[in-house]
Amino acid sequence: MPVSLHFCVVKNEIMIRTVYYLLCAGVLLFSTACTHYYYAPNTLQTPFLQKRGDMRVSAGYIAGDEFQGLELHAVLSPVRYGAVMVNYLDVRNSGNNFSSNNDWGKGQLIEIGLGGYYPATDKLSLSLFAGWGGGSVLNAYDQDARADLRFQRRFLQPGLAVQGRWVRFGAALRLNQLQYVRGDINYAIGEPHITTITRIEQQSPHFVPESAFTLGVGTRPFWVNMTLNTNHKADRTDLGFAEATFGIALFCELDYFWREQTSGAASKSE
Amino acid sequence: MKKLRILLPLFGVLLLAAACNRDADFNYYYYEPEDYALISQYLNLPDRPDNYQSELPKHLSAMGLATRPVDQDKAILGRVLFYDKHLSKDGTVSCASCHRQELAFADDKQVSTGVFNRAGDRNSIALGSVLSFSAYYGTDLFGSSGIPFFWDNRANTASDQNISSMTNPKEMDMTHADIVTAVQTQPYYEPLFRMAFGNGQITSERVSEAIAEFVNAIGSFNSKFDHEAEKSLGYNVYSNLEFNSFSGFTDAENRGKLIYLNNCASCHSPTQGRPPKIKANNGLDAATVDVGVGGITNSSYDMAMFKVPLLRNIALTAPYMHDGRFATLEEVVEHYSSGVQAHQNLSPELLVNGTPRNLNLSAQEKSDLIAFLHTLTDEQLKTDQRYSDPFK
Ligand code: HEC
Ligand code: HEC
Repeated sequence: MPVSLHFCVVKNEIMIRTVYYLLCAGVLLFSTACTHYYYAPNTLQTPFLQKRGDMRVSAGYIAGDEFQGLELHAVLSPVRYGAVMVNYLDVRNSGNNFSSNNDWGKGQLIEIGLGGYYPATDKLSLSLFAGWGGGSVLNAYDQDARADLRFQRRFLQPGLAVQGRWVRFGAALRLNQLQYVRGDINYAIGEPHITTITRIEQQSPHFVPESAFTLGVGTRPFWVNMTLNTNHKADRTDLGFAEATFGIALFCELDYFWREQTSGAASKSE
Repeated sequence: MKKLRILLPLFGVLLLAAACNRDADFNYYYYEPEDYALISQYLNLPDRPDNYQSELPKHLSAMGLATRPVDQDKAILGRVLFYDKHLSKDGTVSCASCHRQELAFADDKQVSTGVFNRAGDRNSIALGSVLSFSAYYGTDLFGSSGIPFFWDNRANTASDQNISSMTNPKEMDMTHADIVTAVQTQPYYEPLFRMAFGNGQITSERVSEAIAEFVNAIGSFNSKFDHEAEKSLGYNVYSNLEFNSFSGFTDAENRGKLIYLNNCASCHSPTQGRPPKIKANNGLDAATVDVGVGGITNSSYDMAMFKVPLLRNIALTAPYMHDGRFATLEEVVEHYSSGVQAHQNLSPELLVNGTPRNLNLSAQEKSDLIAFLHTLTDEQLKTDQRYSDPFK
């Protein structure tokens, strides 16, 4: 290694600094196992709801920095201006080449939201949901040491959706109160993880503001939605909260199928 | 249907309210309960593991020094091994016999005594600051710019070092096989090895690795000097140390600091972080008595050269020098003031025009310098529970 040869003659601490930083960079590259997350934003739904009986489901892939998974979404309007949504998320650490098999993480979340919507025009729909759900995050570190955290999340989510013939667009804000309710943590996971988790414990419940932008292409009833979800909590990295996720989902307007036969009846009942 | 329309949002609000605030109920655990019960019959180890990852004070990190990550499971095991007398031939000596916590991990004998009361060759070295220089060690990348161990620099890593202590007939006098047997017969080690290495297998390499992890983690940065240096930290650490009086120092300590920076720091380090020189001859004798580093390198330029020790906790670690010849700091200062001998390898810092440079300090200057050396003592280290004897 030419670097170390060159520095054989180094006599004082200032010059050592340079080589040390080089080493640190090397250590960072080679020794960090996968990043461990304790929270990641799931994709925000921005449903384009127009009338009673509207029902949408979607299934998609979600990914963040070093993790990825599956999402299922559904939203239904049982009454005019009222809607119910359900979200499910399952993510796993995708790991990297340097981490051992003992080093992984996974998370799950299921939640329900109730809300109202207002079809401002036939192209624009505004909505507001309030929701509640919970989930778990399990991380495993070297030596099989684990940290198992359970959380509950409540949220308020204003959003809007614009839908044309070939494209749709959605934007939403989600204000979460994220509360960790239980944890089983093996101290053997070591630092810095212990410090991060104690911080999570002490600061819980956390206020987590998130935003999302969706772009969809397709046409009724099938769309492909791409959503970028961003976590705006200022100290997210100190807490091991993922900064952003990207979702791509196949989205289907189920109501389209039965509306074909009963379209007149459905709107008349309103 | 109308009713439902109103009920839905209402229900939403209720949902929110129902999930009322609960405190997080986090349960941290480390040992399996039966392991902990077994360990606790012999040892006072906390159920929550100690954190051995220290942070360097800012005046050291600003110099580019950094600690390396500590494996706390290994350090916990290493602490037990460090204090375990079973690791010596006659069962009377542990590392801690010659490296006593209350003396900043040095001892108070001129030369240390090992098993069967055998006298060693040299004075014990304080371990209170290994952390600040071992950070560079254990990697080949640093080659010769790391700080080796022992008065004669004969060990490159803390692991080389401790194997050598355990097998030295004048210290613990064990063979590798003895070490393994001694450890295997103690019931508390199986769970501790399992925590540290994933399984309970005991080998002399693992013993050595664990002790090294503990020794490398010993850090002592809570001296008066550290607190003041950290406070006065500016852009240029060196000039700030030199030109700023420390507000928390007495006048004598501040004057002593200047004498130190001008005459001693070029070898012993201005920040007490890492000695700038790895070896030197400080003029103890005109002729070679102990060959020192020369005995390892066989170079005539290294004869009577010795490791330059850090002076952290120096007030606690008398007697002084590799042979413990000076009983007090007064004697040490007198040596630099008037006793520097013209050895052929006397280091340039202690030479003027080819002759020994005696500082000729006044009585006032001597006591100022000693006052400064006392600011290097870290009282917390003496009782830090993480480094203390865990045996019941
Ligand atoms: C019999 C007394 C004795 C015992 C037991 C002993 N040491 Fe030492 N230790 C010494 C002496 C004396 C020196 C300096 C010897 C030399 O440099 O030649 C020393 C030096 C060291 C050093 C070098 C420090 C430096 O800055 O260079 C380390 C580290 C150390 N010992 C750790 C240990 C460990 C770990 C153990 C137990 C495995 C141990 N010692 C057992 C007496 C002892
Ligand atoms: C040329 C470099 C050099 C300079 C300059 C120097 N020292 Fe030293 N010092 C050493 C070396 C080398 C040793 C170890 C010598 C030995 O034991 O043989 C040492 C040992 C010591 C020790 C004993 C350490 C111990 O753990 O036993 C003290 C105390 C000390 N020096 C203080 C000072 C003071 C105070 C000054 C300034 C007046 C000073 N030194 C200047 C190189 C130097």
